[in-house]
Amino acid sequence: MSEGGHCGSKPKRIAIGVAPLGTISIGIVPMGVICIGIVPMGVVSIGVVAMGVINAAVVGMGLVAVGVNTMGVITAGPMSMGLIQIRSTTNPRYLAYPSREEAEEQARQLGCEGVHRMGDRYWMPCNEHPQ
Amino acid sequence: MAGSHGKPKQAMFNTKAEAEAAAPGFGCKGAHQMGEMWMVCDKHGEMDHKGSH
Repeated sequence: MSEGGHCGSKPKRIAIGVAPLGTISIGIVPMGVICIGIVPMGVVSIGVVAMGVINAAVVGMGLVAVGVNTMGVITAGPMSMGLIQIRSTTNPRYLAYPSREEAEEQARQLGCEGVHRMGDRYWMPCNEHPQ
Repeated sequence: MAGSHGKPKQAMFNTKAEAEAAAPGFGCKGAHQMGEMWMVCDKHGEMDHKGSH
């Protein structure tokens, strides 16, 4: 396990542990060039809530991010945010329903008011589109 | 079509091409941008508000 790895500490070439900081870091909340772990941050990171240039993670953030809720320039995964996104948009806010009743029910669950039509056949929950 | 039941469909996509491709399934054409994402149909359907906008 690496020691330190906190803000201000010098990055190591290889860091493994809790919140390690290094060129290659594996662990929980690792930060480095290549990261594998939970909440990693770095150039390449694989894990949960990763942040870095390349991420494969859940809730990853980086230039390249693969995972759930990823954020980055290139992202792949549900709910990803980035310039280039490869993902499935499974947010119920993005779904349209074939009946107004279903959309109204979904609106109640989402905590918004009303419904609006989407095309000729479908209804979406909430008065306004998601932003 | 109100009153019918079926599976919900995804109406918002990452790319314009995806939204345009899905538009016929909603009985419309084209796509429009919503923030960083794209929704099916050239423009919003009829808004049916049950409250203030």
